[in-house]
Amino acid sequence: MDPCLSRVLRAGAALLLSLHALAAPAAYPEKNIELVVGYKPGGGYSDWAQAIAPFIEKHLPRKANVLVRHMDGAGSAVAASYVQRARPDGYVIGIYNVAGLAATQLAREVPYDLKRVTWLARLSFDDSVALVLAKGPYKSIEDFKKRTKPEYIVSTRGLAATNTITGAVTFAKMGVKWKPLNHAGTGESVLAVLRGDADITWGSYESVQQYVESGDLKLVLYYDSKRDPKFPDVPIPGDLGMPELNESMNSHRLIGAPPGLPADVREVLEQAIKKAVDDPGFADVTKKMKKTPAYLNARETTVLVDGLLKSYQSYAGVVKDLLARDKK
Amino acid sequence: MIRITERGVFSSLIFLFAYVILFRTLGLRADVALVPKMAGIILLAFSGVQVLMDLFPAVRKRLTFLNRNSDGSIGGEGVVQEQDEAGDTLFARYRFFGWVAAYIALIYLTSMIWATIIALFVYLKWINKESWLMSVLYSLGMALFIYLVFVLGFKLHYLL
Amino acid sequence: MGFLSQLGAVLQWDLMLIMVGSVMFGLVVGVLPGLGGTIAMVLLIPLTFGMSPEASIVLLLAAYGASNFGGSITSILINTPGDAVNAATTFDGYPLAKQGKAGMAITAAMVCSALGGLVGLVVLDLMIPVARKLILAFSYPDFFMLAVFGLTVIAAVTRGNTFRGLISALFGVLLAFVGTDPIVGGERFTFGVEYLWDGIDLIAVIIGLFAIGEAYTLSRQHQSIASDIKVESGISWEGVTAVAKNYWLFLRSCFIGIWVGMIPGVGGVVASFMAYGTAVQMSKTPEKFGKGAIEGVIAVESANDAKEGGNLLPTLAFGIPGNSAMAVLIGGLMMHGLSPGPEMLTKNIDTTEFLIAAAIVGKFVAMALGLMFGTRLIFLTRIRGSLMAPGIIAFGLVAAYGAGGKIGDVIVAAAFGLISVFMQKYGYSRIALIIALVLGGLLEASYHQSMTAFGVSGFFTRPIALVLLSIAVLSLAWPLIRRKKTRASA
Repeated sequence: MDPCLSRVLRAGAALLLSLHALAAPAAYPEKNIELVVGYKPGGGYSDWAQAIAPFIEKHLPRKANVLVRHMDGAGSAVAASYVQRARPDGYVIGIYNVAGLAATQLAREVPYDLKRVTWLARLSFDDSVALVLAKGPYKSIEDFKKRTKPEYIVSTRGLAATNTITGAVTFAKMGVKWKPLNHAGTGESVLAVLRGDADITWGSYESVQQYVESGDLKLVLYYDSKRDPKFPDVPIPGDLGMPELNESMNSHRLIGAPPGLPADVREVLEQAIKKAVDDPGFADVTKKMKKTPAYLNARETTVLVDGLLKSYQSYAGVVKDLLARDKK
Repeated sequence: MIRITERGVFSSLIFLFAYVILFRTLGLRADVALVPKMAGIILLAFSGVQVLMDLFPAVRKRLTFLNRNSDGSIGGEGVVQEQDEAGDTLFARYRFFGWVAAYIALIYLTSMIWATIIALFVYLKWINKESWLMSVLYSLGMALFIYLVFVLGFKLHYLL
Repeated sequence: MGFLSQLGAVLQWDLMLIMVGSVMFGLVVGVLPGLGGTIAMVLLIPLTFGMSPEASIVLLLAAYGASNFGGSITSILINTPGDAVNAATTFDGYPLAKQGKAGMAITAAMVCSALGGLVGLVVLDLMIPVARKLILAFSYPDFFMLAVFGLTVIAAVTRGNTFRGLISALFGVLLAFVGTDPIVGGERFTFGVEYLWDGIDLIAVIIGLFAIGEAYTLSRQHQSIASDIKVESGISWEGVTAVAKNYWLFLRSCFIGIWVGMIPGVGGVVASFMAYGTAVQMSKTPEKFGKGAIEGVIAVESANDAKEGGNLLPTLAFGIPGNSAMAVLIGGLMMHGLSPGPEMLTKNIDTTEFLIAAAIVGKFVAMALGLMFGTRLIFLTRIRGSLMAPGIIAFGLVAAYGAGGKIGDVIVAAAFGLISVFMQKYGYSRIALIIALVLGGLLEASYHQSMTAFGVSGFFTRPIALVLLSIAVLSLAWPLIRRKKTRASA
């Protein structure tokens, strides 16, 4: 072929390709985006999803609806698998309970893989806490070292659940013997402590906040790098010689997309979410819901998840013990 | 003398279910397996007897006390509809099941609304032998109702 | 009674307008199978954002209260329960519709629901001072005995053939174990199918067993549901008098509803089945149940709505939801700065009384609208069966899918429709299956929980557990004792 012609052809091809590349991000989003929530309506995750969806919609570069779709099942694993298998075209994203999913991954075969999710942002995080009956016999977490019972009873919500693992790891480090009293829901597990059938329970602060505020339960341990100013007497794991537990077990609410999401689509979504979180309207809504956002961008979120997964892996042994076949 | 009937197949399936469940309890922790094992063993025993009765008329005659069909039942629960069925009743029944299965396949492959339109139309025109007008109106009407109530009303867009 | 003082606050023009709208919404949601009070409230929560706390309470509670009413209407007319709690209404409600007496059934159902709701809420009001102590008095051995008692109902219901009834029940119980086990929270009997991790969905099973199963029967008949019998339309005075004549049954069923409703985690479905079962056991003519005994409708509907009073008790006293709908309610209340918990019973007692008053008024508005709306739908029983059948199936499958967006639910519904056809043909009790499915989980969980928390002695040393056990034993023995007595006197 004539070298001049081939050069023209190549230039033309390059021009066409670049035009196409330019065209792609400009054309997203063209239709509705599904924001999948792995829990039923009425719960914390659903509230967050429904709160932020309209604001993401508002800050998208083109007009498209962000529709919340509830897909509860297997502790949000069904939703996580759904997003994992969806086409990475930016029209399906999900809100993730990373701690819960990471814990489940340790206990069973799962069809999702948190390492491969395209992380877009963190919406919030919640501190884990340990609670006892406010007017009960235990005044602090140290009381459990006194061995007043051969085995303390811990009220749980699934043995492979994040909160149970938190408790198991903590008690293992403290050398406390215990046995689980399992329930199907948070309400029932809290009731067990209120009745005195169980001695202690673990939870994420948001889900038990109302019981603390009403005075029924009191905190004995707060998992963070510094004490909560509202509860200056409640120690953090670092105070008791377990600083590695300060932040590794908290629950984070993340937004993610299927693996392999194109960089331009990811950019659009990341920006829209960031602007949504910064929107004063969103701040109003979260204040009314008494929830606090804690935004991290996509890169920071990915780093966070890697760290979390590593620390969860280190607790795999604890989980195996909990689920072991031959319990004595 | 063994007599294979639809009834025998049904009770055999229940027996099979009990067997499968019991089999799966072997891989479970002792306490997790406890209650299902107990229930499973009892069901295996009972359904086993039922299978024998259904397949062997001789056994049935001997165990009449297990086979009462008294009219003192609640609302017909427990009363066996014994009539021997004509061939076309059986055909109609399995055609019905086939239609439901096809409907579900359509839901999976297309969407709820489209599946409903197609499935209802097929049923009305070819199974029920209704008129063209009725078939079209009914299927479209139903689909419209579902659209208005579930998609627009409850915002369940995935039905589309 | 505290709520009386707040009645005036409820009966304001603007609030009543909201209430009427909300009741209509609740009725429609209730009618749709698979969708119940919980979804109704969830959809309304965004609307409450701009409203005052009082208006929000009226909006949410009216819709929730009305959803039960709507659900009973379709249970009676087309054997398609609006929600799991309405399943038991089909047992006698649908046979009544088949006899052309849908009007009487619907009237009785609406009246019982309103009065039952009233009784439940009044008792709630009276129990407020002891609410917290009462809830804390029930523990695992008591739940276990409650489940045992619930299972004895199966014996009553399968008088036709107990052997096959037991097979149905055991089948139901094993189905209840599919999913997550109560000790570890791990998966069990799921065969690697992710959809089964949460167990077999109750509403999908109910749609299959009752709605689709019945649709099959209808598809074979050219007569309408009501056959060729003259159908009485409109509100039936007979329905009202039937309730009055059975006041003792009504009160008993209300109390069963309230007590069962009070226990978080047990679920409202249990209340209606136990009320039905007790009605059968204590009736002098148990064989008429299931064939159109109005007593069956009365028992179920009263318990169904009385249990709402019970559900509100742990919700208000501790902020612990009695069921998923209450969880949504708590969320809604918290968004308006109301914290369920001891404060609701002391500092904010006025709000609580307002809530109760609003719920009571809501029930009567629902009754009025339900009667008007429901009786309009009686014409459905005059349509040719083979024409109703595909519609009912479409309706049922959409509902199964719409409930959670999982194709698995649709498959489960269809599968149980198929199973239902054979169960009816070969005499296996569907009622026994459903009761066992509902109670199986509770039975196993509470057994293991009791053993962990109390050991074996827990079952035999707690007063409430012993009382329930005695009632269970008695209910099994009663028919035998009565038979001996009649034989002796003959």
